[in-house]
Parts: sequence; structure tokens; C-alpha cells
Amino acid sequence: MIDSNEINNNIEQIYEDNFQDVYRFLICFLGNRNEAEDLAQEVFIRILKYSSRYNYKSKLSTWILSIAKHVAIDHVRRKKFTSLFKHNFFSEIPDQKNIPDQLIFDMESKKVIQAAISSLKSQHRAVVILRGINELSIRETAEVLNCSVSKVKVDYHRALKILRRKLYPSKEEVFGDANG
Amino acid sequence: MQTDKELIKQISDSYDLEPRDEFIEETKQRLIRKSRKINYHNYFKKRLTYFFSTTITLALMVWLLSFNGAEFVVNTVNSISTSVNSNKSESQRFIPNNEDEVIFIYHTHNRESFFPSFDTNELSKAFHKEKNIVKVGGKLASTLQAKGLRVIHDDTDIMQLLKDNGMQFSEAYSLSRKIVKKGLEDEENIQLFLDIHRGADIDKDKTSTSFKGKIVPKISFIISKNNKHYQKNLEIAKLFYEKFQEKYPGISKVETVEGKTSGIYNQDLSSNALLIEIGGVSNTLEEEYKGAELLANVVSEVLKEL
Repeated sequence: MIDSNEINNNIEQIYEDNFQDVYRFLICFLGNRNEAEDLAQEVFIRILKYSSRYNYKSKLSTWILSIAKHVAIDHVRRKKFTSLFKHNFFSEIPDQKNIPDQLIFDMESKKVIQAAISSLKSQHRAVVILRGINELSIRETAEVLNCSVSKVKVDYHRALKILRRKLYPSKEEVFGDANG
Repeated sequence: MQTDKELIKQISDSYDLEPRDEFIEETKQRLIRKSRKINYHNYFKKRLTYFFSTTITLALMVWLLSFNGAEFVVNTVNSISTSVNSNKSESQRFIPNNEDEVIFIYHTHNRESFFPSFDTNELSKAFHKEKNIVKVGGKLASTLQAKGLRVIHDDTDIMQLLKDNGMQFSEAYSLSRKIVKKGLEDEENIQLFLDIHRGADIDKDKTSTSFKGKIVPKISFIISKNNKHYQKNLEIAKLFYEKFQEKYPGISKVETVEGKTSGIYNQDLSSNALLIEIGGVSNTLEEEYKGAELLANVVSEVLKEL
């Protein structure tokens, strides 16, 4: 068992055990190295600050990832809000359905995949990253996202379907649009 | 078509999943500094809390022991408890209990006082705003409450009301009558109405006796013959007398009064209404308190048979 003081005393170890997972989650979620680095630091500083809130029911690593998720979603929300004022609203929001034609045929392009990932809504994006990249179990994913196991299953399935449709539109369209 | 696994593989390949080494190291150093700061802060906070609580405890102990702290605390607690009691109603202190039976104590001549309490030996001047029979009634009430009985003690300043309304001393019963009537309206289960007085005989030998080597006031039960409840009230007075004889022989007596000049003492309102004189004008307040205690002991005996 780790108590709040122990988290502070063992922060070095905790950091080394977890920074990779946190960073991976953030880089996939945000698609931007600078932002991912800044937020990764923010996550571990929050762990120090709020160590007393850790409730020991979940694994420490799940708790840390749930903080990462909060930080990431907060950041995206704030960014959306400030971009309203910084730039022209309509020119900035990417057209989520229509990825530019020349990229669609370039299947190996990382950018296409990244664009497809960032076009997912936050919940779907988080599920895909946690399950696929961080390789958490369904139960652990549910704990991080604070939702039910069945919601994780449904969201994961749905998110992959959406991704596939975005990446291989021709094949999916044959079967019709099942997910609206 | 692609499997989920392949799709995920594709996704993970499209990101640079490894953070830069400089970033890893930089963040680590930053966290170590930060955690030291937090730990130091916590340590300091703990020390500070400890220091302050010790100082305050010590100061409090010195204050309580060496200065007048204890007295102050006792006074504050007392004044709070009395103010809580007096807030319950303007003139009635009411301590509820599980028992249904209620004893209603009031004072038609509320300012009846005692020679030893202040410097006089004239009967007409033996009235006092504070050192009066209400205090004796209060002692009776508190002793009964200590026995777990419900008591309503009315301390209305009837003498002041008489003055305010330009009424005569002899009209006091018309005011205390209202108090009894209100009591009957508000409470269903009043077992006894006790109008507590002190006697007017200035001869202390006649209003006192000795019990176990101590001077105690004699206690008289005064019953009016001029009303419909005379017999029943008399029975209760006799019951009191019998119980007194068992516990404290020679202290009590029962008087019946008749005639138009004497009042009916609100005894027409209830078959359980008594006028009780505890001692007389020459007794001290301490003696009167003792009398109130003895009376309370007998009241609890009598209640069992009502």
C-alpha cells in the first residue's frame, strides 16, 4: 500500500514506471509532441499535488492514466475555446468527414491515421488508445474512463468501425452507413 | 479486410511513441525538486501545527489554573444554560420528560420575601423584587426535575402587573387565576397546581421546627371551603400530610379556611390545586430551600397515589 506521503517520496520510481504509458496516451490523443510533453509533466505534478486523493481501490497506474485523460480532455476543450477567438472559427475546425482526396489514397501516410484518430470524439479516442496502445484490459479501461465495462466494449468496437470507414471509405460504403 | 490488430498496429506505427531522452530526464529532475518542496512544506506545516497546538494548550492550562479561567468557564456555562431555559418561554421554565404528569408551580404573591434576606423586620416591607418566594419555588421545581418529573414553574411578576394596572394587593388572585387557566388550556396532564407562599407570622418559632438537629420551615396546606372542589382538594392535602408524617413527622399541617374575606385560591379551577406555605417571613432562604426539598420528596410520594 502506498499512502500520499509515500507517493511523494517515491515519485522517481513512480515516474519511471509510468511515464511511458502517460506519454504514449498523450501523444496519440493530441498528435503533437510539444503538447504531449507539457501535459505529461502536468500529469505527474498533479499526482504530487493530489496524492492524498488516491483511493487505493484502483491500481496506481490506472489512477495515473485517469489523470492523464482528464488533463488531455481539459486541454483539448481549452484549445477549442481559445481557438474560437484566435482564428476564424470555421476555417480552423477541420472537416472531419472529408479527409483530403490525395491523402485517402496514400494509405501508408501516418498523417491520415493521425487525422482520423483526432477526428474521433474524446471518449472514442481514449478507448482506442487505452485498449490499443496502452494495452489495458477492458476492466482497467473502464476504471480509467470511469464508465461501465460494456460501454468500453461498445465504444471500442464503434470507434474502430468509424476509423476503418474513414481510412477505407470505399469498402465500408458498400455495406452502407451503419453508424450514422 | 483488416483485423483490429492490424489496424491498431497501423495506429501505433503512425506515432512516435517514445518520448525524447532529454524530456524524460528534465521531467524527472523537476518532479524530484517538486516532491522535496512538497515534503518540506508538509513537514514544516506539521511542525507548525504541533507548535501552535502545544502553545495554545499550555496557555489555556495556565489561564485555567492560575488565573480566573475556571470561574469564567463555569459562569459562562451557567449563563448560557439559564439563557437557554429562559428562551423557552418568557416566564415559564419547562423541562419536558417522558412522564406524562406535570406539576404546575406558581406564586400569587411572588415578591413575598424574608427578613433575614435584607434589612427589615416590618411585614409590610418584606417584599423583594428578587430575593423572594420564587427562588424557593425554583428550588422545588429543580428538585422535582432532578427526580425526572415534568415541572412548569411560572415566575410571572404579579406584583409588578398589579402596580402597572393600578390594582390592589388583594386582587393578586385574579391575576394568578389567569395563569392557572392558561396552564389548564396548554397542558392536559397537570397533576398538581401548587401556589407556593411563605407564611406571614413573624414568630419564627411558630413557622419553624427542628428536624434531625436542623431548623426547617413548617409546611402548611391551605384549603378553601368555598368551592366545589373542596372535598377533593382536602383529600389531597391530607394525603400530603400523611406522607409528611411518614417521612418528616411534625413538619406539616392542613388548614381549611372559610368565609367571604378569604379567597378561594383558584381551587375552584381544579380538584388538584393546593396553596402551600413554606415557613414564614422570619425564615432564611437556606431554611426555605431545605423546606422546598422536603416538599419535593413528599410530592413524588404523593404523585404515586394520585
